[in-house]
Amino acid sequence: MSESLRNVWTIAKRELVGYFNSPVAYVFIVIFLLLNGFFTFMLGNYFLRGEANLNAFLMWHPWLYLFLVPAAGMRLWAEERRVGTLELLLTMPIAAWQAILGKFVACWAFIALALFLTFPVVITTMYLGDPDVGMMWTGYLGSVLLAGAYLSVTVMTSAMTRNQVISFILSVVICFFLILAGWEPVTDLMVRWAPEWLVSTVASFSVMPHFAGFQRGVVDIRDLLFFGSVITFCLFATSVVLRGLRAA
Amino acid sequence: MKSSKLQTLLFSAAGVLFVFIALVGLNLIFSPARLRLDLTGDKLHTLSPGTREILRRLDGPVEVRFYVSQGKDRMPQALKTYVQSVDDLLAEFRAESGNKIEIRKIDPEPDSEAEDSARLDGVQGQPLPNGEEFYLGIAVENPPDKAVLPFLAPQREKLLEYDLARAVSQVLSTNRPVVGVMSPLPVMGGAMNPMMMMQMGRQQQSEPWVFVSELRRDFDVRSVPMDGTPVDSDIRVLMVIHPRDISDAAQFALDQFVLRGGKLMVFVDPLCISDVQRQQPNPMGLNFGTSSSLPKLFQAWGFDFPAQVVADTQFMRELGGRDGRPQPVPGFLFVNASGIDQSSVVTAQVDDVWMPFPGALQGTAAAGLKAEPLLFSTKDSQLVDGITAQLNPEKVLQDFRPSGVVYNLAVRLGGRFKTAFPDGNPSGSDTNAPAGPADLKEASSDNVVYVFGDADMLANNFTVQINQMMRIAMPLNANLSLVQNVVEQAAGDASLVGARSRASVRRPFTVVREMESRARNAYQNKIAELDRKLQDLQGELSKIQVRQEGETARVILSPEQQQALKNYTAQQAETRKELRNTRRNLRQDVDSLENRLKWVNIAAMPVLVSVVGIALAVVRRRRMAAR
Repeated sequence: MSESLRNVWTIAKRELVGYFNSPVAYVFIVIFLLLNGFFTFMLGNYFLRGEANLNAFLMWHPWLYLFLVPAAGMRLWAEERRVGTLELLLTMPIAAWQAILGKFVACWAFIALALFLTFPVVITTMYLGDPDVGMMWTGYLGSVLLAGAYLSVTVMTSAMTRNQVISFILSVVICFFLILAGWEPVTDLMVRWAPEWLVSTVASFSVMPHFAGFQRGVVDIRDLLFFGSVITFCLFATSVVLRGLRAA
Repeated sequence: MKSSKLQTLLFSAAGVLFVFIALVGLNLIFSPARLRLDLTGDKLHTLSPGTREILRRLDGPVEVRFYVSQGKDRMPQALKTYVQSVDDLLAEFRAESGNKIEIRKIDPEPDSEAEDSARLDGVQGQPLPNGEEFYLGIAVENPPDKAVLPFLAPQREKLLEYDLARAVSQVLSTNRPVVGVMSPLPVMGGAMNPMMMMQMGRQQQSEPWVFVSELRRDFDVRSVPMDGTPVDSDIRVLMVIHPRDISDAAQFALDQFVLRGGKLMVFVDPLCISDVQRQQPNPMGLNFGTSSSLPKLFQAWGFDFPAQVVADTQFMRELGGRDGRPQPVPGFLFVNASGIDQSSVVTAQVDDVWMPFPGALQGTAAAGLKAEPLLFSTKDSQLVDGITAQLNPEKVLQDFRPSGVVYNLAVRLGGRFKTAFPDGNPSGSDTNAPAGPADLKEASSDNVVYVFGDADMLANNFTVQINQMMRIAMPLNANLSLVQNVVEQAAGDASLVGARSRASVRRPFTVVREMESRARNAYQNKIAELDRKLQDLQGELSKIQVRQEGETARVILSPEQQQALKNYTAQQAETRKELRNTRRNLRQDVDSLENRLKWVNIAAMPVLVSVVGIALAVVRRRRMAAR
């Protein structure tokens, strides 16, 4: 077991170091931070709200990640396929799932790092008022999990095609569905013509209600399970796709 | 070979489908699980034990209709956070009840069926600045019972859980609790007191006091005689109001009522000015108040209730005197937040209680009992003679010496009560009386008694302003809601006692608020001064102009006058500008702080990352070049 974990770690490290050898990583982080700041303080009316919490910051994450996370993850497998290194990678003495997990963890850690660099907003909030620290921790935890769920979708679409743009678009569409299914304005519309059970079933597939709990300061096992399930399913689907490629 | 076939199958589309179904199933299995961590500092999302107890008792579905206006302009921005917390709390209630509570969120759009439904449920629309109405209310229904919270005022945010739990508990209990009222005053209206009517003859049948009609909305209110007969067993709360000349036998009845678990509310008064029937014109043509107490019971509970009035110079206000001139009356207390216990559920939302000539509840509670003050005076208070306080408030003020003591004006007494009549029924062995249950010596469980040092606080004169034309009673103060709170608390579900008031969700930017108030203080004088200057200049200008018009065209303004006019006009413009600038300065500090923080947050970190990235790139290139 430790052997396979070591393999995962090797892949992840190689991938992560690779990011910072190119300017793309820095550009991504800068854009990520600029957008977060802009949305929080300009569109989110952080000061107008006058509340010492991170709502104005966290509320944008499902929408920001919708584009940023696929952008970060679209090349993970598509690039390998395009350049033709996929076969090489798969012939290495490691299992496919180890490679998939390794790449996924590396990209996830990279996004988490970008998210970590938003800490000035925490300091600002603590300076201006007396925020609920527990609520801020869970907010960040929820945000990381949300990014993980999106990323797993991107990993899956990335394995499906050798074209990064197609991978990006597919991923955005799927993530968009994950938002809309449980986004209140949409569910409110659905309630008018669909039966209650259908609406709630569809909504339960959405990231929105599961992210909401974290924003309120609650860590619920069902929310953890949901994000875990999305990630597991997408990574499993990725392995199926890659296996199909190898067989072909 | 076989295993590779299986693998192909597993990793095919069917396998994907299988994993999908398995994961959905896993999520479904866990969906009723309620395993979670509430990491908020104040445990905002954790219901109190009392509420959980009530929800656990639900045996059938209860529908909660949550009326909330949605849309950008149909709900005040300031309330949106609050609406979110109501949503959260309702979700908590549903989850805790095992989904027996069904929540229907309804948006009462103008002129829609939903709006009619809101009105039908008694949920009240609140005016918006643009003249339209918004709704934020809840109806809880468990047919045939319904409880309504017509408007969830954000001021009651802390009590939201309590209010909701109470509404649920109301629709659970099938019969209305009975509240008894024992009083020599015509509290229940003329019809309840035929003897008095006959004596008064000409007087029309009077109506019950407003607090009684208010209580009748939620309770069966019944008159209880003060003659020593045992209190009916179905009475859950008994209000004893101004029990003047109460007999030992009647006190024994109250004693037994408390010992067997009845909730007692006592309103005693050293000087009850509402006791009109008792007042007989004396030679001076003046009406004196009467006094009341429960000597036997108070003694057993450890209370001392002197026949003196509490005067408090911090709680006094000017009232119309005998000659109509306003005059401060130190014995008439307008108790504000500084004299009200903010932590108790019954008083937390009460801010203004009128107590005309109240008495002090002194002494220490007897063993096994605990007294919690609900209302109390400030240290600028003194016990004074009742008649003087009523008739000669000036003298009270002249001789006023603050005692430095905080007097208790209302007390919640809790614990295991013991009888005040260890020798049994004081009326002796009444052989004619039907053999009732044996006299109790001690309560079998903890109980609560509320004692108020004033009875006038219930009288219509000091609670409501009655509009005779429209037949509406408008509350003058919080007296009625205080009494209602106490009765509800006492009559309601025992579990409700455990429903606490929640912490507020709101955590404002304290730094910004402080800066604003500092700026306001700093600039206040300057603004006032500039305002005055502007008025003076206006006056000077109009004087010159009047002179000018008075001597129409005959005399042209002298050069000096013209100069003065010019000066004043210029000064006026200058002052106006300064005033505008000063007003702007009020927010200047806050604005500049906000701007600084905004830019630091948006730009600082990206710049730092760019610098680090470029530096690393340069270092790397040098290293490459060196090779």
